[in-house]
Formats: sequence, C-alpha cells, structure tokens
Amino acid sequence: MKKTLFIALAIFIGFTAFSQKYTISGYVEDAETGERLIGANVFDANMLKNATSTNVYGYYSLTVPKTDMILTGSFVGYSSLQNEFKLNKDTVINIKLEPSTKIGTVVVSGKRNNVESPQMSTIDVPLKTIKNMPVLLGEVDIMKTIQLLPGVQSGTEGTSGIYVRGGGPDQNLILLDGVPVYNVNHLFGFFSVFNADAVSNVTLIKGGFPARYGGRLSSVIDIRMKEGNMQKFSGNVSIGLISSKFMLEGPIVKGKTSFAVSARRTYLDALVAPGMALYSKFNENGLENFMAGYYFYDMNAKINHKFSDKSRLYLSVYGGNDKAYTNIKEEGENSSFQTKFNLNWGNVITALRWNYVLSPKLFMNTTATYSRFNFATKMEYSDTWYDGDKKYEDEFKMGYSSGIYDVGTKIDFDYNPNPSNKIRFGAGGTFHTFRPGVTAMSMSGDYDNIDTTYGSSDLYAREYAIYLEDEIRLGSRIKVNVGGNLSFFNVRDTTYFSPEPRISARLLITKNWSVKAAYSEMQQNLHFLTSSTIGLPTDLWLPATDILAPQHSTQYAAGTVIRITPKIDLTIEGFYKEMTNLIEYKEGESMFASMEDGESAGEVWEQKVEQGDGLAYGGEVLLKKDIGKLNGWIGYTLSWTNRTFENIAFGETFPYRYDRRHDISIVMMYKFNDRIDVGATWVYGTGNAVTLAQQRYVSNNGVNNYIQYYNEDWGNELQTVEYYGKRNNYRLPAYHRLDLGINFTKQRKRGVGTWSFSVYNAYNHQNPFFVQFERNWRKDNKRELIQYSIFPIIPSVSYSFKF
Amino acid sequence: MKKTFLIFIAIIFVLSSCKKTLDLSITDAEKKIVINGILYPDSIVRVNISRSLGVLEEDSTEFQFLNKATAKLYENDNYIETLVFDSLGFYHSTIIPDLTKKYKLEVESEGIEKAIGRVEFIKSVPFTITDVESFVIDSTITVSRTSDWNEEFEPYDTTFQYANVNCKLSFEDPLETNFYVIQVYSYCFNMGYFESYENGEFVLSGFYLNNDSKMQKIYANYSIENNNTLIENYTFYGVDYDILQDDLFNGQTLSLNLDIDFTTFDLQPVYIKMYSVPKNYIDYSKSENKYWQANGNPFAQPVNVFSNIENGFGIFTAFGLHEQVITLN
Repeated sequence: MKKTLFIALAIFIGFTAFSQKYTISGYVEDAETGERLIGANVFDANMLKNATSTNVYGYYSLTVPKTDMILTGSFVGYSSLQNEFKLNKDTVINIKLEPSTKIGTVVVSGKRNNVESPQMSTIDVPLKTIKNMPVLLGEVDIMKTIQLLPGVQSGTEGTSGIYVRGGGPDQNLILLDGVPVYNVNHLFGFFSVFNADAVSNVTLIKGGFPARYGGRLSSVIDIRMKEGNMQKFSGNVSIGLISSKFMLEGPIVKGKTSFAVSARRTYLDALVAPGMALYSKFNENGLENFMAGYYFYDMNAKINHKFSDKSRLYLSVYGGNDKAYTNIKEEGENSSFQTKFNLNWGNVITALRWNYVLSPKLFMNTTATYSRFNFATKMEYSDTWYDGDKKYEDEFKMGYSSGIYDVGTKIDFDYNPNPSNKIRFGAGGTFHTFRPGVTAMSMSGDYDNIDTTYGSSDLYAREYAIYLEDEIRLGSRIKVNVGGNLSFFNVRDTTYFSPEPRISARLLITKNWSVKAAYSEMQQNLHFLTSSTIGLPTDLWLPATDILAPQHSTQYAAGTVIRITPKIDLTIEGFYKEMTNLIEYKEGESMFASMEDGESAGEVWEQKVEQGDGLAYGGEVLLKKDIGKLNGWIGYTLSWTNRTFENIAFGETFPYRYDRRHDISIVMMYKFNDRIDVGATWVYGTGNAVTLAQQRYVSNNGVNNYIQYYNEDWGNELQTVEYYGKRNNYRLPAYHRLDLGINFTKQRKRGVGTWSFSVYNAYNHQNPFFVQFERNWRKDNKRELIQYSIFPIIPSVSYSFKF
Repeated sequence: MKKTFLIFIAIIFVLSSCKKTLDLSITDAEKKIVINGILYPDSIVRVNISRSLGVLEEDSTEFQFLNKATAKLYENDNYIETLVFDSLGFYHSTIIPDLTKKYKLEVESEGIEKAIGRVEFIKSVPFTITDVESFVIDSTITVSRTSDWNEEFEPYDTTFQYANVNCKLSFEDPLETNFYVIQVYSYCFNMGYFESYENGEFVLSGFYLNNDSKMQKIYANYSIENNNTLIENYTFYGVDYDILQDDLFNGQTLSLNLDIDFTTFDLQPVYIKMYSVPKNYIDYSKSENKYWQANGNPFAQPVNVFSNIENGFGIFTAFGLHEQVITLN
C-alpha cells in the first residue's frame, strides 16, 4: 500500500510538472496593517480553474498560459479585490485587501473553500468568533473553542485538553509559528497558554493529514502569531476578573519592520494578599507571616523585517509561566522557623524564520526552533533556636525538576509549476532532551549533612523527517493531495524508521457539492505519561525507547461538503482510526504512587506502563456560517472509542475514558449593530466513562486478618476489596451547559471600548467533575455515590479597549 | 441588610451546587460466592465461604459469611464428601488430600449461582539449614501492668531475649518455573511499652503484656543476602513476606544467607517454613498488593484482585511446604 502510493506520487509529478508559461506571484496582505493573510483565495475570474490559495506566509504563485486575466483576491472579512490585465510575462502582484466593515454587504468568500479543497477534516477556527464568544471568567480561550468543533472532545470540565477522534491529549501536534508546544495549560488546564489577542490564524486538522505534518497521531493545531502592523501603531488593553492583558503592534521602520507584543497576567495572588495579611495578623497560632498565592503570565513577541519582496525574516518568542507558592514564618522567643514551597512550570518557545522567494514558482522557508517545557518544585525548611547564646540551625532543601527541551531546524519549499500541481517538500531535524525527573536535596544542622542529586538521567533523542506532497488537479472535478512523510527517531542506540503515506482526494459533483476521502498514517515517537484527568504539570513527555515502541495510527476518512448557500457550508464526515502502541499506566500504578514509594517517577516509568491498541470510529456533522449578522456553527459527533491492553482488565476491550457517543455543540453569535452583539454556546456530551466498583468481597488475606484479630467482645472489621470488572465500566451523567454573553461596543475618541458580560453555565447545571463512594454519617453511615461539580453558574465581566 | 442576605444566598447557592448524590444503576449486580482457601500437605481442606456485597450494600459480617452453604469436594472429578461448617464461614473436610490428585470444590448457596474452585498440589521443595551462628542477649524488664489500665496488677520482673541467628538455607530448584515464600517465626509474649510526658519529652515509663497468659507466633525480621535471586517484597497488614522467583536460578541449587532478628522468652526455637507457591497465588498476591497501594489514590488506576474461582471470587489453591526448626542454646 505504501509503496504503491509513493510510486503514484512520482508518476503524478512526472506527468504534470512541465506545461506552464507565465507565473504570477506575490503576497496577499491586509491593506491597513500589512499583515499577511493565510489561506486567502487567489484566482482568475475569467478562468476559475486557475486558482490557488496563499500559504502560511501569505504567499501565492500561479503559473498559467498567456491570458487576459482578472486576478481576484478574496478572504473572509475582507472586500474582494480584482485586477484586470494581460498576462504575458512573469509578474509579481502583492494583493492588498481592505477589511470589510459592513458585515454582509460586501462580496466575501469563505476563507477556505471547503467544497473545492481536497483536504478534508480541516477547520479554520474563526478568530473573530472566538473573541465574541461567552467564556469562563472572561478569559478568551482558543483551545476551548476548538473543543466545540465536531470530532473534538473536551476532557474534564473546564480544562483545555482536547481529544480528537478518539486520541489522547498528547496526540495533538500544537504548533505556535511552526514550533511544537508541549504544555498548553495554565492553572492545571483550566486556561490555555494562547493569548487570542496575539494570534492571527488557527487551523485544526483532524484527519487526511498533509505530508508536511508529522509526529502526532490525532490532530494538528497550527497557530500563527500576528506579525505586527507595518503601517501604524495599534493595540488592545483588556481588564478581566482574574487577569489583564495588552497587545501592541506597529512599525519599527514603516513598511519594512514591524513588531507585535502581547502579555497577560493573572492577579489572584494580589487579590488574596490582603486576606492573607489579615489572617497572619489575627490568627492564634503565632504565625507572623503566612503568604500563599498563585499566578500565571504569558507573553508573545514577534518582529519581522522585510529585506525585499523576496526576502523576509521573522523572530517570534513565547514565554509563559505558572507559579504557586507558600511561605510560612513563625517567630518564637528563642526560636524561629520558616518553610517555603514553590511550584513553577512553563514554556519558552522561539522560532527564527526566513522566507525567501527563490523564483516566482519556488518559495522557501527556513526555520530554527527552540522549545522548552520545564516543571520545578522547591521546598525549603529552616529551624533556628537559641540555647543561651548558642545558636542552632537545621536546614532542609529539596528541589525536583522535569521537562523536555527541543532544538530543531527545518526547511520547507512550496513549488507551483502550474495550476494543476502544488508541490511541497522539505526536511527537518530535532534534538530532544528529556528530563524524566531529577531531585536535588541538601540537609544541614541537626540532620546528617547531605548534599545530593538523584533521579533519572537525561534522555536524548534525535528525530529527522523528510516529506513530499503534491496537490494535483486531475481534470475539472478531481483533485488529489498525495504524499509521504518519512521519519527517523533514534534513542538509546535504537532507531525507528517510519514511512507514512498520505492521500486525500476530492471529487467535485457540482460547483457547490463535493465528496472526499482520505487515508493517512501517522507515527508518534513521544509518549505522554499522565495519571490525571486534568493538566497537571507533573505529566511527563518521554521518548519511545527500546522497550516502548512509538505510537502509530492509520486513519480512513470519507465525507462530503455541500455549500447550501454562499454563506453556509454543511460538512459530513466519517472516520475509522486504528492506533497501536498506546500507553496506559498499569493497574495500580500512578505517578504519585511512585513518589510515595520514594522513587523518582522517571526511574521506572517504562515498567509502570502497558502498551496496547485503540480503535475509534464515528461520524461528524458541521453546519457552519462564518459571515453575516448571524454566524456560528452547529456540530454533532457520533463516535465510539475503545482501548485493548493485554494486561489491563484481563485483556478485554474497554471504552476509552472520553468515549462519547453523542457530542453536540451549538455556537451562535448575532450582531445587532456596531454597538451590540450577543453570543450563546450550548454543549451536550454523553457522560465520561469512569471505573467504579461493582461489588465488594472479602479476600483470603482479609479472612486471615479478620480471624487473627477477631475479638469475641468487639468482633472485628471485615476488610473487603472492590471488584471493578472492566475498566471505564460506568457512565457519568451527561454533560450539558449553556453560556451566554453580550458585548457593548462604543466608539471613543481614541479607539473602541467594549464591555463584555458573560454567564458560564447559565442554567447552573451540576456537571460531574469526579465521583466517588463515600459514607454519609447523616444516614447511618450508608455508602453513597457522590458527584462533585466545580463550575456552577459563573457570571463575569471584562472591559477591553482597542486603539 | 438586604444586600448581605443576597450575598449569603448567592454563596449558599454556589456551594450547594458542588456536590450531589447520584443514583447508581449498578447496585443490583449479581452477587457471587467467594471461596478462599489454601491447602497444605498433610492437612485437611479448610476453606472460607462468603458472598460478595453490592457496592452500596452495608457491611454485615453475619450476612457476608455463608454459614449454610453446601461445599462438595471432588477428587479427580469423583465426589468424595461435603465439607462441614465450623464457624464464621469456615468449612472443613474430614480427609487429608492426596498430593498426587486434582481436587474440585463446588459451592452452592440459596439464591446465588454455584461457584467452582479447582486445585492441584505442587511439589514441596526440601531445604537444608547449615552454618548456623547465633547470639542471644538477655534483658530484664519490669512488667508494670497489663494493657488494661484499670486492671489491678502486681508488677514483676521478667527476662526476655534479643536473638540473632545467621544461617544458610539451601535447596535444589526444580526445572519448571517456581515461586517460593519463606516465613520465619518464633514464639513470644506480646509485649508493649508505654510512655509518659515529662519536661516536654516522651520517656519510657514501663512495659505491659498483652494476653500475658500465652505466647504468640511472632514473625521475625530477616534479610536475605544473595545477589542471584529475584525477590519481590510484599507487605500486607504489617506482615512482610518475600516471594522468590526462580528466573535466575531455574534448575540450580540456591543457597541463601538468612540474617534473622527476633525477640523471645525462654529461648523458643526458630521456625523456618518454605512454601512452594503456585503461579495463581502469586497473581493473587501481587494484584492484592497493588490493590491496596492504589486504594485511596485518586490518580491511580483501579486494580481487580486476581481470582481463580469460576463464577465467583477468591482464591482456592495449594502450597507445597517444607519446614525446619533451629533450636537456640
């Protein structure tokens, strides 16, 4: 199968690569800001088959025979622009599109013509919609918006983890300006690290993956940061209940160099500080100084410089950190003690990219990347006391750190020999450093003097990939994207080699109706060790090793896209995905159990996990309207997701925790006028699968213990063990929630101010966060199954000012 | 005041929305018979029979132990006898099983489906004890009361011994995969001590005896010195035991150096037992150990304790056993 696909690719390229005459190329830009537009359509209105779209750097290239051309550029939210001329030589035209201010009154085309595109299972996430949606605590969150799309399941309530077509949270390749992001969570997953103000484009791919992407099994989320306004300074300041943020962009050298910078910080720590101070002052325990807090911040910065129309350099940086801390100090007459505890985790991501137009048909991008996720905890204890004049001091310090560090380079080429072929090829390499967990400890004073470091040593891995893909037009109705990705992964003298064929095809039935099919194989050389359902920073990224093979998936997808009206697309897709070498903790194992045992989790992690298979299949429906006064979407997913591990649940197939039979999301926004818009989101999902005991019984050891300690007067408690049967054998109640929001916008002298009011969980539905058996002392100590919910109705308000 | 009241109502509303009791649809899971029993060479069959409880069902010892069950014992599929109830769910045979034959136990109880346990003896592996070295330290204490504070008591002095024994345990491992459990114990009065709080510190203020009229089996602390042995240590209800796997010495002679520490009265002998343990018991033991490790840890994956009972729960198996006694001088 793989060999056949590669041969087909070579034949297609050979047949179609040599018939062009003149090339028209250039960039499509926002006329006001100079921001390059990704995925804008460029076509000849005289001959619609001569069409293309801009790449992720806003570049397009169209090679056609000599013709009278009406070159048209279009992009959602912008007025289309037409340029009529005679094409008789290679020509460069940069198309500058004006943003449309009167929604629904100008001619606009969909950002991605989903009927026309051969790529399936791909959704451009509408950023304008994201910013107007009602959100939890006023924090706009890209990942939570993605959770509302069909084929994507949310995890535990309120968290940002996403589960695409039966995959795990680690199986999503989340790229920020082309650099993988390993930890997308702030505040244990309740907020994601992406500041929507700094982002210009978000694309989600769930299947039919183009060959240029690799390394994860289930999805690609390609996030592009704003480049910065080349023409004038502009910005945005926002104040919310838990955080404030700003974004500023503008030219450094007008038309040549620009920057965009944004930052966000929470202030929960500042809000609770007075309360802490009061507590310290009035509490009876003699604590003179008690401080505890939590905050996170993140910042994005990007500079780009245009050397010429052919050459452009970008430097983008993301840095974000979460910190939780306590500091307790007690002073006595002759003694004092102090304990400090810090938790720190965060990402740093850097990308340096250079775009160069080698020829009108050949575009090159070279990238050097650095990505780091680090988790560190530090505990300090000191005790000082005096015996007369003599001073005694005990001190204990312990720190633990884990993380992953990547350095990589890659080079990508876009080659457009003719309107029938759009070829992409490239190569890349990444050097991974994994730190599974290192503890440093020092003790002095009354303790034995110790200063030591222990834990797992760092693991190093090299990962290389090359790819080739061609988007081929075969006649007027068929378009195929065919290609392959070849990856090499080397760790501990073991090398994994993975050829991954990809193909997706579209058959145009009518101008507004197409059917599509796709086949893709993906390999993931990284594993993610997590024992929780929320995004804990203790979760570990670790490599495939000689003991644990890489994860692999094969996905088949088929579907249809119907443009019901020029503004409304209906997409229906089915998928079937097989996954192998997935990991799960063995029964009874967890990260925390190992810590209790005094082990570093990394030391034995390969022994703590099982490898097994997964299967996911189902169907998705998306009815989407991107433009007009009323916009939004309705999404529905019907799916089944199972796991089979030889040594878990006696080898029986069991449902994945996020196996969700039905998942519905309705997202609607309505703009009454330039001053008022409203939004509503309703979600419904089948309850998560959890493992609950079915019965209890007394074990052999329990009997022995009972007899051994039996007392005729008092009897003895008969200790029972619980029998669970299959893993994930019980369904929590269904999840559903309604969020409402309203934005009041007012033109001010120096900009536009917006008050946003939103209500999360408007009808206060108690959605399950977790359940457990408990004894109720009010009811004769009877056992009950108790459900805990964490988010009741939560109103919020924020104010933003755009200038 | 009105504002305060509204804030109060809002807080109550928010807090009360965080927790609720769920109706559980799996309460009616079919109850199963539980058979727990280990057979030893030269001993009668003795098993405990109980039934499982629903997850929300109340604990009830009388209800849980099945004292009116019918437990039929079969030898090589031929019925030989029905076990006799003695107490607290225990039933026993009158015959001593033949180590060369297979046994089946069918248990029935009113309202619950029949459960079956099958068992086959594995061979005992004899061992020798050599190179015994020991030392004993006498110590005298004053026993000042019983464990009951209120009981009148005449304090008296008594002498006990701290003993240490070093010896070599050797055996020939049969060719097939084998597992062994070594148990070391002696007999001693169950002794405790009590403390008093003086000048900011706890100080030892006396000793007492539990059940001072009889000595009890006290498991000794011991360590094994051997680099060529796969040993897994398990703890259950405070009793440590080691499981030796023969992966690294299959079919060979193995010698282990035992270093045994214990406390005793009147120089009671040391008993060393080596059980030959079947794989099903190892699976049971490991899984139960994992179960208790994971119990209460919300991040750990739940564990099903291994069972070899058809249509029921529990473990029904047989050990081989060899025993040696070391007498101290």
